[in-house]
Amino acid sequence: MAGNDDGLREFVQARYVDLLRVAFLLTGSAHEAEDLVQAALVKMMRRWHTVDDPLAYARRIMVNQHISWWRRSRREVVTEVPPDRVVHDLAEGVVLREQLQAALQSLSPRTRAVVVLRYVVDLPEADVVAILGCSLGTVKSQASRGLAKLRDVLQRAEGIVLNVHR
Amino acid sequence: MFIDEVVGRSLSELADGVKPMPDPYGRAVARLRRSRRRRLTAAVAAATMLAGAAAIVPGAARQPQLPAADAGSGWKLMQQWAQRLADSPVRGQVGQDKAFVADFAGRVLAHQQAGAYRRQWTVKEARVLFVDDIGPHRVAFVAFVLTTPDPKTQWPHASAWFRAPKGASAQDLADPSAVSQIGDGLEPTAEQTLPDGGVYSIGLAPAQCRYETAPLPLANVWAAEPTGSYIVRTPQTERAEWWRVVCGGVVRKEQPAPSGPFLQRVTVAELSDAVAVARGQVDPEFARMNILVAEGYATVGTPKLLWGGRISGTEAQDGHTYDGKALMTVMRAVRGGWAGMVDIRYDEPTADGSTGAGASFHVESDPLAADAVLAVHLGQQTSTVFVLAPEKAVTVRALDEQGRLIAQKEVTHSTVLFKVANPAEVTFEAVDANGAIIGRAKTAQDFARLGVLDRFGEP
Repeated sequence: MAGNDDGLREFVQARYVDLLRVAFLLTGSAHEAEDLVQAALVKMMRRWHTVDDPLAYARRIMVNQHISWWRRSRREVVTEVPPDRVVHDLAEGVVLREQLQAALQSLSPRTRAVVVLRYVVDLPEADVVAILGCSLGTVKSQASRGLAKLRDVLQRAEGIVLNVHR
Repeated sequence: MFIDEVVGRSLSELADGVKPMPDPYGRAVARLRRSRRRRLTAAVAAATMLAGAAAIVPGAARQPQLPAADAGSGWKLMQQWAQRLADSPVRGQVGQDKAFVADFAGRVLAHQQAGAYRRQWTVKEARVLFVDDIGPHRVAFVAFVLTTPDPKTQWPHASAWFRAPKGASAQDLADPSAVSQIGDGLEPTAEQTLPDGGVYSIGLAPAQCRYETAPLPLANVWAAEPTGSYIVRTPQTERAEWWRVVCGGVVRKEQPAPSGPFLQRVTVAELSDAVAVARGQVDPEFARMNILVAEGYATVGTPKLLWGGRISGTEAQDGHTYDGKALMTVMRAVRGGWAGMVDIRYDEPTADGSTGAGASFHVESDPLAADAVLAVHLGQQTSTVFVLAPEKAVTVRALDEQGRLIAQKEVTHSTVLFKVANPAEVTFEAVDANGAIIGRAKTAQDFARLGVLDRFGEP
């Protein structure tokens, strides 16, 4: 068991930034990331005394909450101008970040979660399966699709020669 | 380097810039409390309704009852309302010209199917939901009915706003250059603002609904709009107000008007004025950031800078104390009283990456009054209370609920920090050099920001 509320406070102190980074990659927005982590913490507070692995539990809540939010309250993406205008005067690094961010957000929430948990958090596939509640095959295929999309962005933007055979 | 390593590294770098807002633990505790309060309120409301008080909105009994929504997710419920919007008749005076509408719809559909709007949706129908001349513009809103829901987003509709000069032909209005806003979905309501020598605002709801508006500062006296299910504001009719959408007697959406004067940015002159009248030593850049980020939707007018300066010994959530700069701002709250914020930026980040602390608060009395005492609890994780005292105060006393003295401290630059066990129960008294009490206040309440409602996803 994780202990009492003081333990939760210590957990927040130690892990908040890690959770926030994951949340940011899931949501694509610093504001929504804060909201997602805060929502997860509130859920944890309600059952803190029953939580065995707080970090895994928090990640699971965040991922599932995010997918649930997306399903329930996704908002149309509105653009003020026709969409294919190109901004030429931004620094390359900014362009890459924007393209990578856009590519990440273009993935389905579940695929995005797989990519983030697998390659940023560096969780084993079995742990990703446990968090998402899906099959190993699903995790593998979604990871593969997600990687392919992000790889394309990175290759176009950086000209990186990537070794895809591993 | 392998692809998964490159992606992992790149994504990690992408998230590097994300920094936590102050006091994450305290905010979570506060959120939990608000959540419990909402549940309690909902339970009371449910009990009240069971007791027979069913009129949620005045006039509800006169509204046609909508068919009960199928049980399902919020997404499905929201889509049912979006479908009602898509099925609604054309609104607007020009929209009553059936020949014009048919011509315009046909041209829009043809352009979309030819890819002229540069979107790849497979559209089977373009439904014109609004057309009118508004000021110097001819404005239209169109819902695209997709052949099948978008495989990625699952939206069954898309939408677009068009704008051309007043009196434009259907051909000109449908031209790709007239697209002013395009959306990959269709929500239950659509709003558009057109700045052009003043702001023109348009809101569109399903035909079963009506718009109501309420003027600031209280935004609680609602009146139905004569146009019913849509609303148009021009520079001549614009005012600081909130809008809400009422469907079948139920408030489905409530929000500030999309372009009220109260949402306008603070000017440089206003900022200079605010800095000039603030007490203490205000860091102008810090003040600028605070004022510019002040959101207008729950507050009215220009933020007032009350005080700025250095602050020492703020207890952070890690239990250590930090020095930094601080600022206190206040604004009139939309539904009465004043909303304020204390923002503290540490000189150095804490071990867990927090860069500062802060707290919002709400008081009923005028914080600009000469005798105002403002006592703000700096978050649930700390016992620290920040007190801004009147200029003539030399000491501040902290008293418990029975009026017994807990602590007394000297004022430095109008401020003092206390550490008290139960901040919400403490009263602070400001005392001048003659020993006279010149101001008194309890610790201010949290400012639960008046929320923008969106209940189209609820049964």
